[in-house]
Amino acid sequence: MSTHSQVSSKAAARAYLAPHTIRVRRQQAIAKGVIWAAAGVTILTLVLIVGYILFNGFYTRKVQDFPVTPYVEERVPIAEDGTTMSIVVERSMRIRDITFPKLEEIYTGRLPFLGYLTTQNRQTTAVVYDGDGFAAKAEAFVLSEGRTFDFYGDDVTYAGSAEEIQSILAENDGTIALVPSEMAEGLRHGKVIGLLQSTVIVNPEILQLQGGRRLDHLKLGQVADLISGAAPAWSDVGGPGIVVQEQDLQNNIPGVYDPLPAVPVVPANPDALWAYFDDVYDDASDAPIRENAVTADGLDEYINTVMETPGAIGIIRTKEAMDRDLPILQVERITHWLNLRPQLLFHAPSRAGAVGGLSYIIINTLAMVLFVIVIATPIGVAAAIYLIEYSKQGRLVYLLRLGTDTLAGIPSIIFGLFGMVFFAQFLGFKTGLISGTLTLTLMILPTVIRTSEEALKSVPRDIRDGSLALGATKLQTIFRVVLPAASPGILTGVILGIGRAVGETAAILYTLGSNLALLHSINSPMRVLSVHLYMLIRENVSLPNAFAAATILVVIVFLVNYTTTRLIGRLNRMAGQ
Amino acid sequence: MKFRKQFERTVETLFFVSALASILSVIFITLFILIEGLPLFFHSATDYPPPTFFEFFFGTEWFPTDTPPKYGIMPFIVGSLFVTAGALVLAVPIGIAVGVFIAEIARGRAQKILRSATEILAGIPSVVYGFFGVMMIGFFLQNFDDPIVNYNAFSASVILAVMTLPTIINITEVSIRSVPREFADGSFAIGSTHWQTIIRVLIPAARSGIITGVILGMGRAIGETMAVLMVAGNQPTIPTEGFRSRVRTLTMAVVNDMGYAADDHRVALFTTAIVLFAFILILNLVTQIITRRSSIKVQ
Amino acid sequence: MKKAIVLLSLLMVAGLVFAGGQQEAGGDMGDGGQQSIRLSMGGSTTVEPIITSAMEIYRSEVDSNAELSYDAPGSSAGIRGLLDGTYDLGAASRKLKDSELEGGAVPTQIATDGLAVIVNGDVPVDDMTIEQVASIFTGEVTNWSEFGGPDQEIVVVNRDEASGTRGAFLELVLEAVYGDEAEFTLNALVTESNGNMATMVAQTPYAIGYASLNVLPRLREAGGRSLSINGVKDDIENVIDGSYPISRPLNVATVGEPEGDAKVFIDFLLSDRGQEIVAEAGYLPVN
Repeated sequence: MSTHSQVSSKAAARAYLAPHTIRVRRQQAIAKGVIWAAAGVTILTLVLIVGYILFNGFYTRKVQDFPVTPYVEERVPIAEDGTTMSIVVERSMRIRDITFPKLEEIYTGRLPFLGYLTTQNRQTTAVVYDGDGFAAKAEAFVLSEGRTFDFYGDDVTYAGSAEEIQSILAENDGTIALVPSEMAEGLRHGKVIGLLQSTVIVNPEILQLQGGRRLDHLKLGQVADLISGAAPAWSDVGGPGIVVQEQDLQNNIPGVYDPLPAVPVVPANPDALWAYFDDVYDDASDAPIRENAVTADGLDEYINTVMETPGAIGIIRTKEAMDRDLPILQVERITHWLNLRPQLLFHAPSRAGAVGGLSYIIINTLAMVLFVIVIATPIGVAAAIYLIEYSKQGRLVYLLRLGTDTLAGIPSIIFGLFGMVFFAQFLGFKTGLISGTLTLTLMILPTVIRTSEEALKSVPRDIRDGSLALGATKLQTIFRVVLPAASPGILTGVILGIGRAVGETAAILYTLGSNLALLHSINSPMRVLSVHLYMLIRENVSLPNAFAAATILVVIVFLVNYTTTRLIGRLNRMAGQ
Repeated sequence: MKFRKQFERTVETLFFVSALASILSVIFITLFILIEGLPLFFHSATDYPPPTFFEFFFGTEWFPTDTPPKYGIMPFIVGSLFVTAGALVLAVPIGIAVGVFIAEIARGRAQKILRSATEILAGIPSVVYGFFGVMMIGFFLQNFDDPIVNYNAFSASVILAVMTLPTIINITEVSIRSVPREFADGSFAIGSTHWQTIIRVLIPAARSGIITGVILGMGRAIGETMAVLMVAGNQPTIPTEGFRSRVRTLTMAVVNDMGYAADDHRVALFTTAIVLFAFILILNLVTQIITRRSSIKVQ
Repeated sequence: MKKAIVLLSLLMVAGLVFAGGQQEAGGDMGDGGQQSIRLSMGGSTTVEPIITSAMEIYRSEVDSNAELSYDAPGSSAGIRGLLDGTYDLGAASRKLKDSELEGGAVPTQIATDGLAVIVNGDVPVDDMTIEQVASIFTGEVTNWSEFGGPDQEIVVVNRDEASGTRGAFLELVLEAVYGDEAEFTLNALVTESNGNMATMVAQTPYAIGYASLNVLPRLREAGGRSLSINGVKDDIENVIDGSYPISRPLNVATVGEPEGDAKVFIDFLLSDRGQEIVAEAGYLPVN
């Protein structure tokens, strides 16, 4: 029909060239522009929202402060004799590198749970290779003087051979092992991760409060800027200056400061220390080290120089900074990884959802959907059958329709309150699966009834008449003839209802509950996807997991849309035949 | 035979009872909300007198845990109406335009895509909209100086506009389609162009339907909870800085406090819910009247 | 059509079977002939990470059949729920009020927490006196220029009325400075959890709020900072030695002295393993 009207409109426009044609054309252009723009805005909004959620659902990027620089080593020299150490972890662990302080925590027994490092629910099994004097060297490397492995616990396992380490790797999914580099590559069930163990140290004055401000971390690249002179003074990176006049808030006197130049301290000998400096620096910049650099020979002199030269900045091994309690600057680091992956769907959530996957949540959601279908479908379809097949148009039917329409317009929070008062308290079902399901049933009933009504209406009269003429009763006709013919339409209604139930939050927060556990009985309070998403955001538990949950919800919306469109298409084709 | 008839009768009764389910639910919901909420005005659990109707509706102070407690929900009523109005200002023009586009202008693939887009927009859960809103606010706050997108009425209105859009689009589309074809043909016959026909004939003829859509959209906006809760700022005072003010709506007040409220405070939340419910019922009634009037007109 | 239904029901069944399997795998030490404990708990959002982790670990390491649940409507609601019988165990992130103690609630401290004053990255201050902090939260000072910063309005972010963190902050900061009549300014963003407080403060320019120490890593990730108070940094060490002024106990409470299932769970919380969980959640163990 629109083709017809378009053609006729063009013909009409051509034939009718009155004086006001230009004005009409202009009006048309404006109207056309507005309408196309509106359509564009709608599509754009959808693409933006869905795209943003899906993108972040699958890909996570994080900027964090670390007490180490982003320089990663996989073969770490640990002794004068050239022994190098590698860190091997169980292969499926989601970790690419580890900072030195965390490594120390693990081997002193202070990090029994690896979840916050790997986002997986894993208990630490710390292992060290014990052969050729390696364990002693590793211990001397990892721990400060006077400490031994197991400082706080007795969890570190000494393994005498590669085979033993392999079997531990195979048995414990939280295994981390310190082994000689030559052994590392050959270990089955394991993978090598890098160590971050260089730290930016500064003159203590840099970390002092000045005018109410204090520098506590550097952005990426700022280390190199300070060393190369791209950022000549500390104030360029938010640091302090040389005091000319102290700030005085009482008398409203602002502080006045002169720029304090950054002074890189460079090791004199090309020894291990130099390697750190050079590598970290090279990672970030090609520019030459600025000319005011100070040279220092040997570790002690190096540290003394940094501590005593105003504005000094240097890079040393994290352990040396920790042992001497030196003033360090945190450095920002960007990490990124694949977020939504099969493991996330099949692993149990832990630590309020910060660690692990979504398996409980997904199973709970499925159970809820199952219950809602089982209760809502018969009631909804029966209501539709009554309205279409039995009732005569009149006041009663008008009233029934009015009821359905009103129910459809009631906000979900009201359903939630009603469910809480009526199902959970008045009927005594308590917060749990039954109250939640019944509340949701009421919510989706109008959708199911209306769609089923449409579906029943679309079944041609003749089919019914034919069946009745063959001697079938009305009920037989309905169940054997009408319902099968209308089933795609009814299914559409049910699927739309499921879509609504899965996305609902306000109505189930106080009826289904938010207890993060797997359902274990017919009426256990539990948490479903939408509530989990809300809780993750509300408690700021884990943004990546929140995006993953949101992505699953959006995918469900797409699935619902896809199936209903297909079903309606089929229904239309059937009605057409 | 007799048994069979009886069976059919029983099943019919079952169907009838099912058909009663929705109207019964409405009655029960109304009843229980009233039972829980109305006692606020009649007796108080503390030594202080219960609030009067006037104090409750026009009071501007909400201190439910103070002694004496103050239950004034004017800020929430104003907040709800304010964000809803904002949402409609944004959504109505776009919604009507897109509805017209789908019904009259787009064909084939464009029509299909837009229709799917509308359905998907309608299907996205409100908590996901809220999540997106929070992220959107974060983006604007990080990249602009004093952006209007903040935890305030503006953000809430934008999110609500997106959420009401599908309702308005759908109903506009349906009502424009249901305008008898003769109207358009008549318009073409006197030499109007397609656009003139849309603006001068089709939209006016579909007016009542479009108004219904807007009112339904309004109902959705007033009743929306999770999305606004996450972005509107939650400040329980009357908005004074226009769209930059942080607001608490009726729904937010209920869901925010329900977790811990007790005694009179809890009752007051149900009374707040009654007000919300009354708004929704009035809107429903208006749509009923409009639909009835228009159907009489067409006949 | 039929296929779709069959597929759907198969999926459900698979899900439920999988669920069963998971639960069985969850733990198998729960058979000492002993009755499994049943506790319905609720209260503070601050204590929530401790209790939920403890519940999970109790189920996986001690008794897989234990029926434990925790709601987080806030401290006041938790204790009220305890007293009216909704909960067997209430959790509060503050000292119990006199009225609550009179009602029969008996607190057991399971951890200590420092309250950090947190600010947005734009805020031009890194240290404040406790008086300055109080003056901001009562609404007396509303502009950063008073602290030598730019002429920008201070955006106060506050917690909701049910919050124990709010109660503790009122007591430790506002009432400590201004006396018992002190009240929070109304001109504030209001949020209902510790975590969301961190998000809001980190997002909103010139915002200031307060939260438990355990949100600090997330706060820093999101771009916010915490202030030192009277020149003392909000480190765990400073909270332990008492030099950091704003710290509070985290309590669980029972009606009367703890006994039965509640005692079993409290003992677990106070055991080495339980205190490990406290530390893991970012709070200070009591011993």
